[in-house]
Amino acid sequence: MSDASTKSVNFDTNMPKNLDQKLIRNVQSVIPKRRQQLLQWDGWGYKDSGFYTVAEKVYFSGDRYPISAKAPLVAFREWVRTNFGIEIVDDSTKSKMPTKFPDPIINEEFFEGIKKYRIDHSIHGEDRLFRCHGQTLADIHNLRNGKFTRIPDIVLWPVNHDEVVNIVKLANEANVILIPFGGGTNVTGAVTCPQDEYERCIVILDTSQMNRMLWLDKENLLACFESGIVGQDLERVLNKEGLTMGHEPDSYEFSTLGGWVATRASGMKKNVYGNIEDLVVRVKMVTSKGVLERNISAPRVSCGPDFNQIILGSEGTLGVVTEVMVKVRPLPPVKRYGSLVFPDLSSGIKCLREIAKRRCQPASIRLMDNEQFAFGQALKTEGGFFSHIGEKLKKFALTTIKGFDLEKLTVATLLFEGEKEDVDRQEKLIFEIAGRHGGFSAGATNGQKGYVLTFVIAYIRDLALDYGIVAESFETSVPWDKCEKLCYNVKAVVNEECIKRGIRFFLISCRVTQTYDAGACVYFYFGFRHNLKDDPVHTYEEIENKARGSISHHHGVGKIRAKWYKQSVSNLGVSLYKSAKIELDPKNVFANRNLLEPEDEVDFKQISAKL
Amino acid sequence: MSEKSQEYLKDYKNLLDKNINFMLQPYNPIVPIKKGRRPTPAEVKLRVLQSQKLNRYLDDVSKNKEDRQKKVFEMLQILTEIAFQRKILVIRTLGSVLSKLLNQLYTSVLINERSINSLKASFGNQQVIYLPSHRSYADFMLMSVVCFCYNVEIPAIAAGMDFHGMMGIGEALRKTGAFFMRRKFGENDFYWRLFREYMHEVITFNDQGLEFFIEGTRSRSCKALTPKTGLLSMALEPYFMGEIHNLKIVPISISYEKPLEEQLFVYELLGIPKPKESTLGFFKAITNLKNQNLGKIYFDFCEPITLNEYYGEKSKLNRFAHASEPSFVQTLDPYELNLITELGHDVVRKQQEKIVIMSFNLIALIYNEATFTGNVKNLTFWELERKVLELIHLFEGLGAIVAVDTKNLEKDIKETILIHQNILQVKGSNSNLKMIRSNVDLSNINASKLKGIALCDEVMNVAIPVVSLQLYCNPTLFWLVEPSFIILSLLEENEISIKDLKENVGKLRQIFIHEFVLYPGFSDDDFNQTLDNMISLEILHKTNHETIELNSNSKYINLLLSAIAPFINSYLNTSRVIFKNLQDKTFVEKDVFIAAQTYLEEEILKGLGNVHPYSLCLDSISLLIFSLCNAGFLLKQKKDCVNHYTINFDNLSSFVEILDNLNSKLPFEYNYFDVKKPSKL
Repeated sequence: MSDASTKSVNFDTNMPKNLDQKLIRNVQSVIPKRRQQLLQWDGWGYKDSGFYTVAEKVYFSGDRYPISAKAPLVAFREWVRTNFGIEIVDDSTKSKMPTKFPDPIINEEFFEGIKKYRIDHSIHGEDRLFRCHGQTLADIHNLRNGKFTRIPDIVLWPVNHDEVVNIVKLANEANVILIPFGGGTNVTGAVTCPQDEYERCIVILDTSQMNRMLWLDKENLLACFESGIVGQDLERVLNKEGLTMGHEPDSYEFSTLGGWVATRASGMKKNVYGNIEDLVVRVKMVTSKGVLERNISAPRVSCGPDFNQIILGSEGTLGVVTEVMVKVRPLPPVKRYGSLVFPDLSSGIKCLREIAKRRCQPASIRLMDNEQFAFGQALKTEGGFFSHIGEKLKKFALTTIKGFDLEKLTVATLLFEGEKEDVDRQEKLIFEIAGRHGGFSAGATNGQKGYVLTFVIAYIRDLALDYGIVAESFETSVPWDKCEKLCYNVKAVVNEECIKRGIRFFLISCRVTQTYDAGACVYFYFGFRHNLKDDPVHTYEEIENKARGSISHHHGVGKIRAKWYKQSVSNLGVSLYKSAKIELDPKNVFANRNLLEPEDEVDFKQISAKL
Repeated sequence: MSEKSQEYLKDYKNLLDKNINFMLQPYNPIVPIKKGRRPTPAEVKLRVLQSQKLNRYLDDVSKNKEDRQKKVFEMLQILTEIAFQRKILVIRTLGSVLSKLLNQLYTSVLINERSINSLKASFGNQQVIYLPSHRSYADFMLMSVVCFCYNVEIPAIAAGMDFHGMMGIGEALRKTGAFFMRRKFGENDFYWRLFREYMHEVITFNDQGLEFFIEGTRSRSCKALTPKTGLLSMALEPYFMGEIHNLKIVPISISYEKPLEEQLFVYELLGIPKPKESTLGFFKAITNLKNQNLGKIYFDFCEPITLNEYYGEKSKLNRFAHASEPSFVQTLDPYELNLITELGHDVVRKQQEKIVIMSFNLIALIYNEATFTGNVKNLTFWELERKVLELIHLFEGLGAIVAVDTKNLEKDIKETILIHQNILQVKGSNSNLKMIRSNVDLSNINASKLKGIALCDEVMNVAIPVVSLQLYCNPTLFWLVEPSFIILSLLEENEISIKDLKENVGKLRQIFIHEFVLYPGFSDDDFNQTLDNMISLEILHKTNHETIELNSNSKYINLLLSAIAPFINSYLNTSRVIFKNLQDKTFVEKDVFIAAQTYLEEEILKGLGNVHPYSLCLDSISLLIFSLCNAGFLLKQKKDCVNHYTINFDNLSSFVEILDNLNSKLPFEYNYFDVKKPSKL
């Protein structure tokens, strides 16, 4: 008998603390509790934002992004025609959310307990369907085609840490599956229900209603938030105090602090503010065996293995993150965009490499390949990269004097943040290094537009799907010496595979999005026009796999990258993780099946038989 | 006087003998915590204004920038109202005036020099909180004078706003270190936070120590009061949060042969409220006192409590718990508040242990016993002397410090009776001790301001000397309550197991928990210690190692019973009145005051000796109500900040029964005077 799991579970944190209730700040979230009121049910983002066509002109709707809803994207249709051989037409009927949903499997004991604790809950089909998926191509495809057979049974909205403790306790007693859910922006299948799970009741623990700022310490530049706070809400609250956390993953409008921690997220501006693991000071995770947290907030300690690192990236398999203490920074007085043009990808990568070597990266630096540059041109509202007179001169200078080939050039976008003198100095240095690699400045406006594109581009995939184009992004990180090769090889493999499969219209494009001392993160977009008879998503995944994928830089593992987890952490690493899983969640309540491949999973039946 | 007491009292030196000139004496005080540069009072204020905690709070409660500005201004105003200053010239001037007063009013002001010197020797690294017992306004002045004379920095003193209102005096006190706290600021969150932050800086930033009265107010009854934990927890918060490494708590015992406010207290206890403090009233009172002799004062610093040791041993306090989050966002948790409550009780206990028992305390007890047993006519001066010696033996046997000059006993007793001639008088050595009937005329008192009823002059004239006398019994009850309970439990019993005895005593402690500040955490210690002492004093016999019996020959039995009798009688009377007159309705405290005093007045006028006039005291009535609520005999509901009560019927009758039973065990009658029936009745 293992006494660890038979003993009554101790959920008390060993150190009770009383917070001054008056200093806790409630945060009004942009995202409503009933997400369907604001968000797209079968795609990315807000309902009121996205591409649409009127009178053969393509527009981007809404006023949430700095892209005018009134000005048509003049070059877009042409670009689509050239690359995919498709005419964009006016009619694009929006699909309606289903009205019939699979019946929930209710665990009565658990449900009674939830009611006893007065925890906010729903078994409404819409609420359940809305939380059964992330944002992978497969997720959206399954949604649109009604292919989700197993969706969550109950949705819970706990409002604080204590309620989560009670939920986890109940879940262990009643033997249900708990899947923590934050912003639902994962692209790894992380919150997708195990489709073959019909024995146990699947409960979604939606953290969105625990989103308070528990305290703010301006002197030490620390803040403590509940895990359900959405990125844009968090920044808004901090900005009001003259502060920022500076963590901006492309999903930060929707994704949550707890989600960032659980997936080891990375932000665009990590060069100044750090990735999530650099920002987190303390984190509280409710596990089946109690609350795991570091009890010290010292800036750095020499204290054995850091168990924050067990929480970071655990992807909801070990517990629920409830509260996170993070570092914050004063808002930078100056925020300046910039852009650089390079004759080709190679020179761009070399330049980025040198910038990383000098450790003079601005808050963000991203290098787009020529395909992406061209795509960016297609999303311009009026004119293009070279629309103004001055810009036209630049084009002339580029192509004639510098001898740039418009089919080969690449563009880097820059974002500087800091004191004016620092930004000036940094900018000068970057331009100087760029010059040495044959590049030069292409102005601030182009830089800024590049970053707007980041947010808008997420909506294109949904439009593409309407026209029979499957598209998705994938990313990885790579040492500097292999960076260019990786870009080349992935493109080459995709090319080959597409030709092999008779796919005529496809696009593969890449972007170097983060730089480190030892390497960079490379982000690929791949899409192709499919023949309706095939299973396009499967084909897509096949081709992606042929590119010899590996573990990701910031998307996480989830289910779709589980096949690379073992090779990344070694066999012993997997068994160490499994031991942690058995220790923290002996009844496998957190059975969202992330990280491990099915054949590697812990045999909990065998474990419970031994008890 | 036994050797033990004598040895102890040897360390006391008369301050008045020193003839200190407050204007000229050099004052280079030693501070509890030595800093590189001495912080100024203005800096203390500034730090409060800059505190992150208050600024975060202001951000949260302000609607906009203007509103915030308004609140900052308000904050500044409140802070000016609170903050202390330090002006040496004012200290010297006030000191001169006070020392003159002390010389005029007191025969001696005795300071335990050994305790003050050892305290001074321990200064340097820890902030100090001085917690004097509070029996008189003089406490606070005396403390400052003592500090000046012994070159200890006068601490910052948390004082009530009633002083602040006194024109000139408030500001003068402020300049000698007093800072002012509004009473009942519970509902004003903003004020509360500001004051708490001020306390925080006084402890963490300032270097001069902090003084306040843990009992919260002067004890009108001269018994200890239940420690208030509000200020104490504010002062201790930085320690619990780990902002300061250690903290020293110094209980201080001040014993008066006759408190300045003796008669005022008596009136207040009977329901005639104290006049509002005014400067004019203050000077009037001083001039009235001028020709009085108030006897001796004993002033003693108790053994300091060092928190690291105290909490380290007792509770294994884990301050690390607070380290993981900024201390300004945290509050103390219930466990810690409990630790603070316990500390408060320990402080009060330490004060009580060092309260010096003087001859008039003993005389008061003796007079009461003689009265209750009908022997007062035989209480001659010689008899009194004999009895005093007996009682010295009893008190010392129980552990008290007794300051009676046994070598010159006659002189000592005569002097103290002279000081208290408003209560007791004796003509010659062979004549007997007599209580002096009061002769007041309260006809022109504003009846609307009374807390109870307007008692008739006859009852007042009896009650005033009786209650006055009780004020001298009360300080001794710290030592006598537990033995009395033990005897009460043993009366009519042959022998009883120690375990049963303890249980019975425990029940009595529960009834009088607030009256005598009987902290449950101390009940084992109190019981065991007292049992041992009583066996040594041969009041009890151990029949075997588990059972005990009363030595019915002990001369102390009646005395011990008479000490507790007024309270048992009072509780019986009041609970009876509540049970009879207030059933089936919701009532407030004042209803009980009126009903009880009305009933008691009638009973006293009947002259049967069945009610003790001390029952008229509103103080005990309030404490009884409090006890009854805690025990569930009364149900409490708060409406518009006033407590409303209803009777929990079945239970209260059993409570009355218990008290009736106790009262009937006491073979006493309470006939202090022959009562003259007023003509109007």
